[in-house]
Amino acid sequence: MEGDQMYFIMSLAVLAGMLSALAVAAITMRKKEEEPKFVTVVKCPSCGYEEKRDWKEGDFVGLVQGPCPKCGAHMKVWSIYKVGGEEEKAKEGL
Amino acid sequence: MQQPSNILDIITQIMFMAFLFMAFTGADARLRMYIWAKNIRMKMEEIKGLAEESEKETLDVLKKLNVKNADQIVKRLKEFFHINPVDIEPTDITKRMAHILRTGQERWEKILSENMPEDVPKAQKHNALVLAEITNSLHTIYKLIRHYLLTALKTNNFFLMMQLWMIMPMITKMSKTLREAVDTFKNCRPVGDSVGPLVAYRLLENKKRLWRPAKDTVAGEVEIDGRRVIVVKAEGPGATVGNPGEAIQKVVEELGGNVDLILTIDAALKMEGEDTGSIAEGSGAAIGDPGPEKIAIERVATKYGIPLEALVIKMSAEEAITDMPESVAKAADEAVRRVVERIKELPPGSTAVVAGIGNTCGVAQ
Repeated sequence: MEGDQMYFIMSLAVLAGMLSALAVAAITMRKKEEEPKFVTVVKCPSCGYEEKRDWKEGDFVGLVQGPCPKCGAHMKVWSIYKVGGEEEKAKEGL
Repeated sequence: MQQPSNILDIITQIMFMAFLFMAFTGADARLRMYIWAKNIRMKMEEIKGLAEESEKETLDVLKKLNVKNADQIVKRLKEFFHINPVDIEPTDITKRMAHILRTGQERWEKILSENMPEDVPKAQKHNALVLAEITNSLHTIYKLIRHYLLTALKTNNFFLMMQLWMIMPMITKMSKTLREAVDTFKNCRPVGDSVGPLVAYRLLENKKRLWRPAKDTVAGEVEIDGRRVIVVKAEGPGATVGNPGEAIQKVVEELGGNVDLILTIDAALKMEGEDTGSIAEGSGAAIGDPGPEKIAIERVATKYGIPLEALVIKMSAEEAITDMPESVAKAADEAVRRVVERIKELPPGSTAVVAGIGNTCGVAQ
Protein backbone atom coordinates (compact mmCIF):
# COMPACT_ATOMS: atom_id res chain seq x y z
CA MET A 1 0.00 0.00 0.00
CA GLU A 2 2.91 2.30 0.88
CA GLY A 3 4.52 1.54 -2.49
CA ASP A 4 1.29 2.31 -4.36
CA GLN A 5 1.12 5.67 -2.67
CA MET A 6 4.67 6.45 -3.63
CA TYR A 7 3.99 5.55 -7.28
CA PHE A 8 0.94 7.75 -7.18
CA ILE A 9 2.97 10.69 -5.83
CA MET A 10 5.71 10.10 -8.39
CA SER A 11 3.14 10.02 -11.22
CA LEU A 12 1.67 13.25 -9.96
CA ALA A 13 5.12 14.86 -9.86
CA VAL A 14 5.89 13.76 -13.43
CA LEU A 15 2.50 15.06 -14.59
CA ALA A 16 3.07 18.40 -12.85
CA GLY A 17 6.49 18.65 -14.46
CA MET A 18 5.06 17.97 -17.91
CA LEU A 19 2.32 20.55 -17.42
CA SER A 20 4.86 23.16 -16.31
CA ALA A 21 7.01 22.45 -19.36
CA LEU A 22 3.96 22.84 -21.60
CA ALA A 23 3.03 26.16 -19.92
CA VAL A 24 6.59 27.51 -20.35
CA ALA A 25 6.59 26.46 -24.01
CA ALA A 26 3.22 28.18 -24.58
CA ILE A 27 4.41 31.44 -22.98
CA THR A 28 7.66 31.40 -24.97
CA MET A 29 5.76 30.86 -28.21
CA ARG A 30 3.39 33.72 -27.43
CA LYS A 31 6.40 35.94 -26.67
CA LYS A 32 7.77 35.36 -30.18
CA GLU A 33 7.40 38.80 -31.60
CA GLU A 34 5.31 39.82 -34.53
CA GLU A 35 7.08 40.92 -37.73
CA PRO A 36 8.35 44.50 -37.45
CA LYS A 37 6.78 47.14 -39.67
CA PHE A 38 8.67 50.10 -41.12
CA VAL A 39 6.95 53.46 -41.22
CA THR A 40 7.85 56.54 -43.26
CA VAL A 41 6.59 59.90 -41.98
CA VAL A 42 6.20 62.53 -44.68
CA LYS A 43 5.86 66.13 -43.53
CA CYS A 44 5.26 69.50 -45.14
CA PRO A 45 8.00 71.94 -44.02
CA SER A 46 5.69 74.92 -44.69
CA CYS A 47 2.44 74.09 -42.91
CA GLY A 48 3.47 71.09 -40.79
CA TYR A 49 0.90 68.70 -42.34
CA GLU A 50 2.10 65.14 -41.93
CA GLU A 51 1.12 61.70 -43.10
CA LYS A 52 2.37 58.20 -42.40
CA ARG A 53 2.80 55.40 -44.89
CA ASP A 54 4.61 52.08 -45.20
CA TRP A 55 8.34 52.40 -45.87
CA LYS A 56 9.34 51.69 -49.47
CA GLU A 57 12.74 51.07 -51.03
CA GLY A 58 14.60 54.28 -51.82
CA ASP A 59 13.10 56.28 -48.92
CA PHE A 60 15.50 58.36 -46.83
CA VAL A 61 15.06 61.27 -44.47
CA GLY A 62 15.11 64.46 -46.52
CA LEU A 63 13.77 62.87 -49.71
CA VAL A 64 11.51 65.36 -51.52
CA GLN A 65 8.00 64.03 -52.06
CA GLY A 66 4.87 65.24 -53.84
CA PRO A 67 2.95 68.44 -53.10
CA CYS A 68 1.26 68.98 -49.76
CA PRO A 69 -2.53 68.50 -50.02
CA LYS A 70 -3.03 71.52 -47.73
CA CYS A 71 -0.63 74.22 -48.98
CA GLY A 72 0.90 72.76 -52.14
CA ALA A 73 4.54 73.03 -50.96
CA HIS A 74 6.85 70.06 -51.51
CA MET A 75 6.67 67.55 -48.70
CA LYS A 76 9.77 65.77 -47.37
CA VAL A 77 10.44 62.47 -45.61
CA TRP A 78 10.62 63.51 -41.95
CA SER A 79 11.52 60.21 -40.28
CA ILE A 80 11.68 56.47 -40.82
CA TYR A 81 11.29 54.07 -37.93
CA LYS A 82 10.45 50.53 -36.89
CA VAL A 83 7.20 49.64 -35.17
CA GLY A 84 6.74 46.36 -33.32
CA GLY A 85 9.27 43.55 -33.41
CA GLU A 86 11.40 42.79 -30.43
CA GLU A 87 11.35 46.13 -28.63
CA GLU A 88 13.12 45.78 -25.33
CA LYS A 89 10.96 46.63 -22.39
CA ALA A 90 12.87 48.64 -19.83
CA LYS A 91 12.34 47.61 -16.26
CA GLU A 92 11.03 44.26 -17.42
CA GLY A 93 11.28 41.84 -14.55
CA LEU A 94 11.52 44.54 -11.91
CA MET B 1 8.83 -9.33 -7.13
CA GLN B 2 11.05 -6.63 -5.55
CA GLN B 3 9.47 -4.11 -3.18
CA PRO B 4 9.62 -0.49 -4.43
CA SER B 5 11.53 0.61 -1.34
CA ASN B 6 14.30 -1.92 -2.12
CA ILE B 7 14.57 -0.62 -5.67
CA LEU B 8 14.89 2.93 -4.35
CA ASP B 9 17.64 1.81 -1.97
CA ILE B 10 19.57 0.27 -4.83
CA ILE B 11 19.16 3.40 -6.97
CA THR B 12 20.33 5.61 -4.09
CA GLN B 13 23.38 3.42 -3.54
CA ILE B 14 24.27 3.41 -7.22
CA MET B 15 23.94 7.19 -7.31
CA PHE B 16 26.14 7.53 -4.24
CA MET B 17 28.79 5.28 -5.77
CA ALA B 18 28.62 7.21 -9.03
CA PHE B 19 29.03 10.46 -7.11
CA LEU B 20 32.10 9.13 -5.30
CA PHE B 21 33.57 7.79 -8.53
CA MET B 22 33.10 11.10 -10.31
CA ALA B 23 34.37 13.21 -7.40
CA PHE B 24 37.62 11.23 -7.02
CA THR B 25 38.47 10.62 -10.68
CA GLY B 26 37.58 14.05 -12.07
CA ALA B 27 35.08 12.48 -14.46
CA ASP B 28 32.48 15.11 -13.53
CA ALA B 29 34.74 17.89 -14.83
CA ARG B 30 35.31 15.99 -18.06
CA LEU B 31 31.60 15.39 -18.46
CA ARG B 32 30.92 19.08 -17.85
CA MET B 33 33.63 20.05 -20.36
CA TYR B 34 32.01 17.76 -22.91
CA ILE B 35 28.56 19.30 -22.34
CA TRP B 36 29.94 22.86 -22.49
CA ALA B 37 31.94 22.13 -25.65
CA LYS B 38 28.84 20.68 -27.30
CA ASN B 39 26.82 23.74 -26.32
CA ILE B 40 29.51 26.18 -27.55
CA ARG B 41 29.91 24.26 -30.81
CA MET B 42 26.17 24.44 -31.42
CA LYS B 43 26.11 28.23 -30.93
CA MET B 44 29.32 28.63 -32.91
CA GLU B 45 27.71 26.88 -35.88
CA GLU B 46 24.80 29.29 -35.58
CA ILE B 47 27.22 32.25 -35.72
CA LYS B 48 29.00 30.65 -38.68
CA GLY B 49 25.63 30.50 -40.45
CA LEU B 50 25.02 34.19 -39.70
CA ALA B 51 28.48 35.10 -41.02
CA GLU B 52 27.84 33.13 -44.21
CA GLU B 53 24.44 34.78 -44.69
CA SER B 54 26.01 38.21 -44.21
CA GLU B 55 28.74 37.35 -46.72
CA LYS B 56 26.14 36.26 -49.25
CA GLU B 57 24.11 39.45 -48.78
CA THR B 58 27.25 41.58 -49.22
CA LEU B 59 28.15 39.65 -52.34
CA ASP B 60 24.64 40.14 -53.76
CA VAL B 61 24.82 43.89 -53.14
CA LEU B 62 28.26 44.15 -54.79
CA LYS B 63 27.10 42.12 -57.78
CA LYS B 64 24.02 44.34 -58.09
CA LEU B 65 26.37 47.35 -58.25
CA ASN B 66 28.30 45.58 -61.05
CA VAL B 67 31.48 45.29 -58.99
CA LYS B 68 34.15 43.24 -60.75
CA ASN B 69 35.68 40.28 -58.85
CA ALA B 70 33.04 40.66 -56.10
CA ASP B 71 33.83 37.21 -54.64
CA GLN B 72 37.51 37.96 -54.28
CA ILE B 73 36.85 41.41 -52.80
CA VAL B 74 34.55 40.01 -50.11
CA LYS B 75 37.09 37.29 -49.31
CA ARG B 76 39.84 39.90 -48.97
CA LEU B 77 37.83 42.36 -46.90
CA LYS B 78 36.48 39.78 -44.46
CA GLU B 79 40.04 38.94 -43.41
CA PHE B 80 41.13 42.60 -43.11
CA PHE B 81 42.52 43.70 -39.73
CA HIS B 82 43.89 46.74 -37.92
CA ILE B 83 46.94 46.65 -35.67
CA ASN B 84 46.68 48.90 -32.62
CA PRO B 85 49.40 51.54 -32.24
CA VAL B 86 52.12 51.07 -29.61
CA ASP B 87 50.70 52.16 -26.25
CA ILE B 88 53.75 51.84 -23.99
CA GLU B 89 54.86 55.11 -25.63
CA PRO B 90 51.70 57.22 -25.53
CA THR B 91 53.08 60.31 -27.28
CA ASP B 92 50.89 61.06 -30.30
CA ILE B 93 48.97 57.81 -29.88
CA THR B 94 45.70 59.30 -31.15
CA LYS B 95 47.43 60.75 -34.21
CA ARG B 96 48.96 57.36 -34.93
CA MET B 97 45.62 55.65 -34.33
CA ALA B 98 43.84 58.11 -36.65
CA HIS B 99 46.49 57.43 -39.29
CA ILE B 100 46.09 53.65 -38.99
CA LEU B 101 42.26 53.82 -39.08
CA ARG B 102 42.31 56.20 -42.05
CA THR B 103 44.79 54.00 -43.89
CA GLY B 104 42.43 51.05 -43.42
CA GLN B 105 39.42 53.04 -44.56
CA GLU B 106 41.20 54.35 -47.63
CA ARG B 107 42.39 50.87 -48.50
CA TRP B 108 38.81 49.51 -48.36
CA GLU B 109 37.53 52.39 -50.46
CA LYS B 110 40.32 51.92 -53.01
CA ILE B 111 39.71 48.18 -53.34
CA LEU B 112 36.02 48.85 -53.95
CA SER B 113 36.42 51.92 -56.19
CA GLU B 114 38.90 50.20 -58.49
CA ASN B 115 36.39 47.48 -59.25
CA MET B 116 33.21 49.53 -59.23
CA PRO B 117 31.67 51.46 -62.14
CA GLU B 118 32.26 55.21 -61.75
CA ASP B 119 28.58 56.12 -61.86
CA VAL B 120 27.71 54.31 -58.61
CA PRO B 121 26.36 56.92 -56.13
CA LYS B 122 28.48 57.64 -53.05
CA ALA B 123 25.66 56.55 -50.73
CA GLN B 124 25.50 53.06 -52.25
CA LYS B 125 29.27 52.75 -52.07
CA HIS B 126 29.18 53.63 -48.37
CA ASN B 127 26.39 51.10 -47.73
CA ALA B 128 28.40 48.37 -49.50
CA LEU B 129 31.44 49.23 -47.35
CA VAL B 130 29.39 48.94 -44.14
CA LEU B 131 28.02 45.56 -45.25
CA ALA B 132 31.58 44.37 -45.85
CA GLU B 133 32.52 45.64 -42.37
CA ILE B 134 29.67 43.67 -40.77
CA THR B 135 30.76 40.54 -42.66
CA ASN B 136 34.29 41.15 -41.41
CA SER B 137 33.03 41.46 -37.81
CA LEU B 138 30.89 38.30 -37.92
CA HIS B 139 33.70 36.36 -39.55
CA THR B 140 36.15 37.56 -36.87
CA ILE B 141 33.74 36.61 -34.05
CA TYR B 142 33.34 33.12 -35.51
CA LYS B 143 37.09 32.64 -35.89
CA LEU B 144 37.78 33.87 -32.34
CA ILE B 145 35.25 31.49 -30.78
CA ARG B 146 36.59 28.59 -32.82
CA HIS B 147 40.11 29.48 -31.73
CA TYR B 148 39.27 29.55 -28.02
CA LEU B 149 37.13 26.42 -28.19
CA LEU B 150 39.85 24.43 -29.92
CA THR B 151 42.49 25.81 -27.53
CA ALA B 152 40.38 24.82 -24.52
CA LEU B 153 39.86 21.32 -25.89
CA LYS B 154 43.50 20.93 -26.85
CA THR B 155 44.83 22.01 -23.46
CA ASN B 156 41.93 20.59 -21.41
CA ASN B 157 41.45 24.10 -20.02
CA PHE B 158 38.37 23.89 -17.81
CA PHE B 159 38.30 27.61 -16.98
CA LEU B 160 38.72 28.81 -20.55
CA MET B 161 35.86 26.54 -21.60
CA MET B 162 33.69 27.74 -18.71
CA GLN B 163 34.29 31.41 -19.54
CA LEU B 164 33.53 30.83 -23.20
CA TRP B 165 30.34 28.93 -22.33
CA MET B 166 29.24 31.71 -20.00
CA ILE B 167 29.68 34.54 -22.53
CA MET B 168 28.28 32.60 -25.49
CA PRO B 169 24.66 33.83 -25.04
CA MET B 170 25.86 37.47 -25.21
CA ILE B 171 28.07 36.81 -28.23
CA THR B 172 25.25 34.98 -30.01
CA LYS B 173 22.86 37.85 -29.31
CA MET B 174 25.34 40.43 -30.64
CA SER B 175 25.97 38.28 -33.73
CA LYS B 176 22.22 38.04 -34.42
CA THR B 177 21.97 41.82 -34.09
CA LEU B 178 24.82 42.27 -36.57
CA ARG B 179 23.02 39.95 -38.99
CA GLU B 180 19.84 41.98 -38.53
CA ALA B 181 21.83 45.16 -39.21
CA VAL B 182 22.74 43.79 -42.65
CA ASP B 183 19.09 44.12 -43.74
CA THR B 184 18.86 47.66 -42.33
CA PHE B 185 22.04 48.92 -44.03
CA LYS B 186 21.23 47.08 -47.26
CA ASN B 187 17.94 48.99 -47.46
CA CYS B 188 19.54 52.24 -46.22
CA ARG B 189 17.04 52.75 -43.39
CA PRO B 190 18.10 54.87 -40.38
CA VAL B 191 19.55 52.95 -37.44
CA GLY B 192 19.25 53.98 -33.79
CA ASP B 193 22.70 55.57 -34.00
CA SER B 194 21.38 57.85 -36.78
CA VAL B 195 19.52 59.92 -34.22
CA GLY B 196 22.39 62.45 -33.94
CA PRO B 197 22.46 63.11 -37.72
CA LEU B 198 18.62 63.16 -37.67
CA VAL B 199 18.64 66.00 -35.12
CA ALA B 200 21.28 67.79 -37.22
CA TYR B 201 19.15 67.35 -40.35
CA ARG B 202 16.19 68.98 -38.66
CA LEU B 203 18.33 71.88 -37.48
CA LEU B 204 19.64 72.28 -41.03
CA GLU B 205 16.12 72.62 -42.46
CA ASN B 206 16.56 76.38 -43.08
CA LYS B 207 20.29 76.41 -43.81
CA LYS B 208 21.90 79.42 -45.49
CA ARG B 209 24.85 77.48 -46.92
CA LEU B 210 26.38 74.02 -46.82
CA TRP B 211 30.03 73.03 -47.18
CA ARG B 212 32.40 70.07 -46.57
CA PRO B 213 34.93 70.80 -43.80
CA ALA B 214 36.22 67.20 -43.74
CA LYS B 215 35.92 63.99 -45.72
CA ASP B 216 32.36 62.60 -45.77
CA THR B 217 31.26 65.36 -43.39
CA VAL B 218 29.11 68.43 -44.03
CA ALA B 219 28.56 71.66 -42.14
CA GLY B 220 25.67 74.07 -42.58
CA GLU B 221 24.95 77.51 -41.22
CA VAL B 222 21.60 78.40 -39.69
CA GLU B 223 20.33 81.26 -37.60
CA ILE B 224 18.31 80.67 -34.44
CA ASP B 225 16.85 83.80 -32.86
CA GLY B 226 19.84 85.99 -33.75
CA ARG B 227 22.45 83.36 -32.86
CA ARG B 228 24.71 81.87 -35.52
CA VAL B 229 24.74 78.06 -35.44
CA ILE B 230 27.09 75.85 -37.45
CA VAL B 231 25.62 72.37 -37.67
CA VAL B 232 27.99 69.47 -38.43
CA LYS B 233 26.98 65.96 -39.50
CA ALA B 234 28.20 63.04 -41.62
CA GLU B 235 27.28 63.29 -45.30
CA GLY B 236 24.20 61.20 -45.96
CA PRO B 237 22.12 59.38 -46.88
CA GLY B 238 24.76 56.66 -47.26
CA ALA B 239 26.00 54.77 -44.21
CA THR B 240 28.97 56.69 -42.87
CA VAL B 241 30.01 58.37 -39.62
CA GLY B 242 32.23 60.93 -41.37
CA ASN B 243 35.01 62.74 -39.52
CA PRO B 244 33.10 65.06 -37.15
CA GLY B 245 36.12 65.70 -34.88
CA GLU B 246 38.24 66.97 -37.73
CA ALA B 247 35.27 68.96 -39.10
CA ILE B 248 34.57 70.69 -35.75
CA GLN B 249 38.27 71.48 -35.34
CA LYS B 250 38.42 73.09 -38.80
CA VAL B 251 35.19 75.05 -38.28
CA VAL B 252 36.38 76.43 -34.93
CA GLU B 253 39.84 77.27 -36.31
CA GLU B 254 38.26 79.04 -39.30
CA LEU B 255 36.23 81.13 -36.87
CA GLY B 256 39.43 81.97 -34.98
CA GLY B 257 38.08 80.28 -31.87
CA ASN B 258 35.21 82.77 -31.60
CA VAL B 259 32.70 80.09 -30.66
CA ASP B 260 30.57 80.30 -27.51
CA LEU B 261 29.45 76.70 -27.35
CA ILE B 262 30.21 73.30 -28.83
CA LEU B 263 27.29 70.91 -28.42
CA THR B 264 27.52 67.27 -29.47
CA ILE B 265 24.41 65.10 -29.88
CA ASP B 266 24.78 61.34 -30.03
CA ALA B 267 23.16 58.03 -29.23
CA ALA B 268 24.33 56.61 -25.90
CA LEU B 269 24.13 53.13 -24.48
CA LYS B 270 21.39 52.95 -21.88
CA MET B 271 21.84 51.09 -18.65
CA GLU B 272 19.52 48.16 -18.02
CA GLY B 273 16.27 49.53 -16.63
CA GLU B 274 16.49 52.86 -18.49
CA ASP B 275 13.96 53.73 -21.17
CA THR B 276 14.89 53.73 -24.84
CA GLY B 277 14.64 57.29 -26.16
CA SER B 278 15.23 59.00 -22.84
CA ILE B 279 17.41 62.10 -23.12
CA ALA B 280 20.20 63.28 -20.83
CA GLU B 281 22.58 66.21 -20.99
CA GLY B 282 26.11 66.55 -19.72
CA SER B 283 29.53 67.97 -20.37
CA GLY B 284 32.23 66.62 -22.69
CA ALA B 285 32.22 65.28 -26.23
CA ALA B 286 29.49 62.73 -26.91
CA ILE B 287 31.15 60.58 -29.54
CA GLY B 288 31.95 56.89 -29.49
CA ASP B 289 34.94 56.65 -31.79
CA PRO B 290 38.15 54.87 -30.71
CA GLY B 291 39.73 58.24 -29.83
CA PRO B 292 41.00 60.43 -32.67
CA GLU B 293 37.74 62.28 -33.39
CA LYS B 294 36.87 62.77 -29.73
CA ILE B 295 40.28 64.14 -28.83
CA ALA B 296 40.14 66.59 -31.76
CA ILE B 297 36.93 68.10 -30.30
CA GLU B 298 38.34 68.15 -26.76
CA ARG B 299 41.60 69.77 -27.91
CA VAL B 300 40.00 72.58 -29.88
CA ALA B 301 37.46 73.28 -27.11
CA THR B 302 40.24 73.41 -24.51
CA LYS B 303 42.52 75.52 -26.73
CA TYR B 304 39.95 78.31 -27.00
CA GLY B 305 38.18 77.72 -23.67
CA ILE B 306 34.88 76.89 -25.38
CA PRO B 307 32.22 75.16 -23.22
CA LEU B 308 31.85 71.58 -24.44
CA GLU B 309 28.39 70.13 -23.81
CA ALA B 310 26.64 66.91 -24.76
CA LEU B 311 23.10 65.73 -25.33
CA VAL B 312 22.54 61.99 -25.55
CA ILE B 313 19.58 59.83 -26.57
CA LYS B 314 19.65 56.49 -24.83
CA MET B 315 19.21 53.07 -26.41
CA SER B 316 20.59 49.54 -26.21
CA ALA B 317 23.57 48.36 -28.27
CA GLU B 318 21.18 46.30 -30.41
CA GLU B 319 18.89 49.26 -31.09
CA ALA B 320 21.88 51.43 -32.02
CA ILE B 321 22.88 49.30 -35.01
CA THR B 322 19.49 48.08 -36.21
CA ASP B 323 16.36 49.90 -37.43
CA MET B 324 15.57 53.04 -35.45
CA PRO B 325 12.77 52.33 -32.95
CA GLU B 326 9.74 54.63 -32.84
CA SER B 327 10.68 55.92 -29.38
CA VAL B 328 14.09 57.08 -30.64
CA ALA B 329 12.57 58.80 -33.71
CA LYS B 330 10.21 60.64 -31.38
CA ALA B 331 13.06 61.55 -29.02
CA ALA B 332 14.74 63.37 -31.94
CA ASP B 333 11.96 66.01 -31.84
CA GLU B 334 12.51 66.55 -28.13
CA ALA B 335 16.29 66.72 -28.66
CA VAL B 336 15.82 69.44 -31.33
CA ARG B 337 13.64 71.40 -28.89
CA ARG B 338 16.31 71.14 -26.19
CA VAL B 339 19.10 72.22 -28.56
CA VAL B 340 17.10 75.28 -29.66
CA GLU B 341 16.38 76.10 -26.01
CA ARG B 342 20.10 75.86 -25.16
CA ILE B 343 21.08 78.05 -28.13
CA LYS B 344 18.57 80.68 -27.00
CA GLU B 345 20.28 80.79 -23.60
CA LEU B 346 23.39 82.21 -25.34
CA PRO B 347 23.56 86.02 -25.74
CA PRO B 348 22.28 87.30 -29.11
CA GLY B 349 25.03 87.43 -31.75
CA SER B 350 26.79 84.37 -30.29
CA THR B 351 28.13 81.50 -32.36
CA ALA B 352 27.58 77.83 -31.54
CA VAL B 353 28.77 74.64 -33.18
CA VAL B 354 26.26 71.79 -32.96
CA ALA B 355 27.31 68.33 -34.14
CA GLY B 356 24.96 65.41 -34.80
CA ILE B 357 27.27 62.45 -34.21
CA GLY B 358 26.57 58.95 -35.49
CA ASN B 359 25.99 56.92 -38.61
CA THR B 360 23.95 58.93 -41.06
CA CYS B 361 22.46 55.87 -42.83
CA GLY B 362 19.16 56.95 -44.40
CA VAL B 363 19.47 60.59 -43.31
CA ALA B 364 20.39 63.31 -45.84
CA GLN B 365 21.26 66.95 -45.10
